[in-house]
Amino acid sequence: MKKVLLLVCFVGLLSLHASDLDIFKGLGGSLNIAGGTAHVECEKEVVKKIMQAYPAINITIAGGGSGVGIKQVSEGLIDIANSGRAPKAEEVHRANLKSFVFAIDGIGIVVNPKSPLSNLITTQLIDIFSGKVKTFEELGFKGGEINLYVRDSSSGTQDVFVEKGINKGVISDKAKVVASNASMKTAIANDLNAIGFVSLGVADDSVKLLCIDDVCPTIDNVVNGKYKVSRGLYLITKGEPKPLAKAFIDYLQSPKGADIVKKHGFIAPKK
Amino acid sequence: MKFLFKFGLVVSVITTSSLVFLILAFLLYFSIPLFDSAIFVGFFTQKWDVSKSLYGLLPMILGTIYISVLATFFATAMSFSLASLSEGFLPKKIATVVEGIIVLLAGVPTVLYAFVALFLLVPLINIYFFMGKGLSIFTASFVLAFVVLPTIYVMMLSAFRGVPKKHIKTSLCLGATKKEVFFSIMLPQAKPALLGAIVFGFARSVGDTLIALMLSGNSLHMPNTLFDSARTLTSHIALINANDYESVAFKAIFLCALLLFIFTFFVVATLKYLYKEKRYA
Repeated sequence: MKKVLLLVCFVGLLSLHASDLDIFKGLGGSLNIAGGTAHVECEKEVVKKIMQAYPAINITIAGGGSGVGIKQVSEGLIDIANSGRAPKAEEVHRANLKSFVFAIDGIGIVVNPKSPLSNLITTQLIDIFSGKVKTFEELGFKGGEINLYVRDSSSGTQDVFVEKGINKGVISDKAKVVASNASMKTAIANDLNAIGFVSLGVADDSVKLLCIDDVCPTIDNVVNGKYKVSRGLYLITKGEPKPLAKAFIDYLQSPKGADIVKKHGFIAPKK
Repeated sequence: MKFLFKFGLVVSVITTSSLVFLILAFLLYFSIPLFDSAIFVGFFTQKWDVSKSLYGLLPMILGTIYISVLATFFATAMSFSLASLSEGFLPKKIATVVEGIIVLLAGVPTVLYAFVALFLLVPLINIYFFMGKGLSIFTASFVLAFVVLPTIYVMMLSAFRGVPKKHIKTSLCLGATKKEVFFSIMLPQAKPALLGAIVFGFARSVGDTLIALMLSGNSLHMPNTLFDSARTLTSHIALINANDYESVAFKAIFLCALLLFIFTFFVVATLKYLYKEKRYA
């Protein structure tokens, strides 16, 4: 036990002296981040490191969805908005928004691990989400009614899914609505007949990722563009970022930040 | 000192009472642009589909009514039996313990109920009872019932305690059994206050957001059965507030809030009426 503790202390000390964090030297105050829920886990790890090394810095992360984040940053309520979609032209214009990509993320179609589904063709996907295909029997499987799970109107994940995953198709009004990537995962894991979509960074063993048109959502397939349903993860500020926000963005875009991004199942963008 | 105290009292009375009117004025101000347009009727007849410019609140109004009525029904059944047991039949010591436990329930944060239900009740219903119907009106109202239960229970207790002890003791002396005392003395006299407790519990279940948001599935279609998923007005506000300021979708939030406000007003009015009736009884 003591050894483990020592090791933890040692690792802690090491990270304290990590030179990558030097950009935060001399900075203090608070940085408020809110919006997209795909970013959160990855950012939390970074924030923990920063706040351990520099106690004068206080960073908070909240959810709400990409739309909420962009709205709040435009009003000056927060410093950085997390967004899973590029800000729309009128949003950029209204508040002079600047956006920075720090990771590439795929959006995976997920089902319960016990679901018979493993591959769908795009037309099937469109029919399932529009409510035209209502049962597993229509797809040639056993199982009964299909339960759709989608996100609320503020979700960037949903915007990208609708645009690239189901070619701007409609979503049935029978679909159940959940408020974050994490609650989508919980809902799918608890429902044998569920189908939904989450950020690949959030997906884990509790859900099963489906391949679309025989292309599976692996990192390689997202990088080489074979898997189409992908997007950048954006950090958005109102005007040029303030020093602390700038340091945070720079850190996430640095090689050290890229390692963390990769660790969380995202892809670091090429410089 | 005395002056300061009086001053403080006056200030707090004015702020709290004007706050209600300020909120009403605020809601009216923002929803008035919706009143004179053709879309107004649509709010109460159509479905909600932003992509087709439909902004109907009817599914949400129905969802709110279904979930809160059902929750109040469950909660009333439970708290009425508990309250009548502990006031009319149980020995004093056990009654005190029961009361303590139920009042303790009131202190549990709502989110905890929702969270526990999400990980225990929802999978259970999904897998063993009704395939994939875990997030539904039934689940939401069942859990909501436990949130409302302490409120109704405590109000029902005080309703029973409001029955003059003189009447109870006299009837006992005349040889009435506990059962007779309860049904012929306590129940009729406590009736208006008991009804008040139910109405109050109903208002509480309409106002709750989190339980419905996390457990009712929030889908936008018209709810038909007990195991359909539905969206309440309160969770609708929580889910659409990210829309653009200028959009009709965003303005509809204020109409939702106004509906809830008007609803609360009627509940309070009913309560006043019920208690007034009691006074003259």
